[in-house]
Order: sequence, then structure tokens, then C-alpha cells
Amino acid sequence: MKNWPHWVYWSFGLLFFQSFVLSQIQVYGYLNPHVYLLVILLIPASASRISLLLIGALVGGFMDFQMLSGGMHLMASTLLAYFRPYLLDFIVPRASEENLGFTRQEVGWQKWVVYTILGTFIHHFYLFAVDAHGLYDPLGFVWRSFLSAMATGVLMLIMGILIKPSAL
Amino acid sequence: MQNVLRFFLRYRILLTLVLLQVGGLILTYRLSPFHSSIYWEHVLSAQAHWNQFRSGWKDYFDLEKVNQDLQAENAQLRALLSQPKQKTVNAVDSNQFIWVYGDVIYGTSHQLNNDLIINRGTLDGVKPGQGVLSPTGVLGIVNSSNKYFSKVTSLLHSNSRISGTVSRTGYFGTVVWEGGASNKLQFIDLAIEADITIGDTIVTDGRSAIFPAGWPIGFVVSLTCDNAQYTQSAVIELWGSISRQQPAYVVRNTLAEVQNSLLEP
Repeated sequence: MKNWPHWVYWSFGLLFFQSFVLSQIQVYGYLNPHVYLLVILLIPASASRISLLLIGALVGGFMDFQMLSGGMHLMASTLLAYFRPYLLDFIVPRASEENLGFTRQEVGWQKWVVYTILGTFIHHFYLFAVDAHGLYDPLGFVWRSFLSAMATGVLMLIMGILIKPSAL
Repeated sequence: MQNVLRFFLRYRILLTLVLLQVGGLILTYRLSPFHSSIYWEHVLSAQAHWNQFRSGWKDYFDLEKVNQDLQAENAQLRALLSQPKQKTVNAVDSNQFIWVYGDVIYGTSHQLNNDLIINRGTLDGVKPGQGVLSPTGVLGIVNSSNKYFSKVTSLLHSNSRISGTVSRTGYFGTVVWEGGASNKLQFIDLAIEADITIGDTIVTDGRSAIFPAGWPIGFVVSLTCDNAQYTQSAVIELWGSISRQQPAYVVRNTLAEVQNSLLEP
């Protein structure tokens, strides 16, 4: 995304959708889509790394507050925010220097899928590892992370269609 | 100092991340019930390990004192050995009893008349009428035996009557079971003047020539006084459970007939 107001509207919409719709979905504890991480993935490319981390902490902390989960989402979100610049550089080189847009329509399907899926896996694997207190049940952990990551990924791809490039 | 500052400035992103992660971890393990239970489990087991380690070393350094204590005890025992042997004065000495070791392999506790089965029979010298004890109390009396197994009339049987005595003061009574909870028995036929209080231990006595005297049965939990009959009765709770798999000792009183012959008219 390029401009901040656009991002702010999307963030509010996503957080609202996450809290009141998606967080109510629980299929045997295995399927928890966490679309709110799109908020972090969509932060405009011009954001500094410190502000990325702080936004990540705010968003994650808000989710923890909502879901009474201590600090798990905070940890996963800040980790994702830390890796966000590397991910972005991977699909759109020099995006942060020139504040390039990176919506689906600007980068194309392939790059958009790579970007969101990588981000989802970083976030989900870390989140569920913390949630399960380590990797004592590797199969259950992988299965749970994988299912949730798939659900999140599909939802984010659908949203990718809705996100229009900024007018600016 | 400047280098420290430079270090912080240089790695400020990573340090912020680490700080946030640690904060998140602390929040998780404090607020999430699942995580906080894991946390305390680890803390407690670490404490237990540390205590074990420390007490191991402490025991090692205490060995000298233990050694001295043992020497003193040895000296006392040697002194006793050198004295002339005394004859046993107690009529119900354990020399009088032959013990057969076995296991309870079957038992019930939910019926009015409960039985147990132990894995010792006539081949081991078990015969009907012999008493059966467990490490924590009395199990019952052998009812019938075959070659390898014996049926025991449990304490939890409407026909079971075992003589007991108040360990502290020596008053006689009878232990019976009138149904209900399988760990509560009635101690009846106590004399009105019997000195018995809640918490007293009830043990076996030698009156019936079945059990060795002084084996624990249970402890008193409540008392009632029957002024019309001039008796007292008590409810006793068993030390251990009867109907479970556990070791069983069949006791044979070699002098039972000699003792009982005096009671015959």
C-alpha cells in the first residue's frame, strides 16, 4: 500500500472483521483464521522498521486483549513485523526507498500469493508454537498451523481482490 | 560507554523485537491459564530437583554423624545380647503364630455380604477359621479353601464379628459392619464405663484366638452411648481399604485349640 489513510481504513475494517466474525470460528481447535495479520502486511512501504514493530505490537496486543490469550499474538505479530521488510524486498525490490505500492493489482497474482503465504506461515507457525508451549506434539502442531494458515491464506487472497491500489 | 551506546543504536531494531518478545512471553505465561500452569509445574519440579541435589550432598556430609549414631546403637544392642535370654511373657507372642504370605486377588465392597479371594490354599496350610491380615489392618477370616485359593469372609460381611480392643485403655468390644460406607465399621458391646475417645486406635486382641493381639483395625471417629442397655458403641474408620489388590497375611494360631479348650464347659 502507498498512502496511510487508505491503510487506516483497511486496518479498522480488518480488525473489526477479525474480532466479530473470524475469532468466533473454532473447528475442534484446529482452524483459527487470523486475517488481522494483513494489517501488518499492508503497512505502507515507507514505514520505518521501528514503527513497523510498534504497529505490530499494537495490533497483536489488541488481539490478545480480545481473545484473552496473554501475549501470544503480540509475539507473533512483532516477529512478522520484523521480517516484513525482508519479505517486501523479496517481491518488490527497493519498495521502501521509493514507497512503491505492492497490492495484488500492482505486483500480480504470483508475487502477491508468495508474499501473503510466506507472511502467514511465519506468523502462524510461531503463534502455534508459543500456544502449544514448544514442539512436544510436532504432528498436531504442523497440522494445526497448516490448516489455519491455509484458511487464513484463502481469506487473504479473496481480500487481495478487494484491495485497490491507492489513488495517490 | 560510547561503545555500549553505539551497540544499542546499531541493534535497536533487534533489541526492540527481543524486548517485545520477552514482554509477550511474560504476558502469556502470566495471563493464559494453560501457560501459567505449565510455568508453575516447571518451577516446582526445578525446586524439587534442587532440593534433592542439596539434600543428597547434605546426607553425604552427615554420614559421619550417622556412623556415630549407629555405633552407639550397636553398642547398646551388644550389651543386650550379652544378657541372659528372657522367656516370652506375652501369651500372644508372634512365635505362637505361623504367617502365610499371599495376595488378595478378588474382592467386593458394594454388597451386604462381601467376600475376598486370596491366592493361598490348603497346600500352603490355609484352613477355614484362620485370620487374614493386611499391612494396614484386618481383612477377615478364612471361610473355605481349596488347593490353591481361599475365600475370606471380609470385615464387610453381615456375619463378620471380630473382637477388638481400645489400644490406649484396653477395653474390649466387637467390630461389626452394618452396611453403608465400606471404610466405616461399628465397634459395639463396649462397657458403659469404658474409657474411649474420638481418635483412639482400635486393635485386635487375643480373646478369639484368631488374630495376634495389637494389629491395628482403625480409629474412632464418633461415639454414642446407649443408656438403656448400659453400653457404648463407636464408629471406626479403617486405616486402609479392604477391597483392593494388596498383600494378605494368613495367620494360624498354633495354640488356638489349647486356648479354646478352657472355654468349653
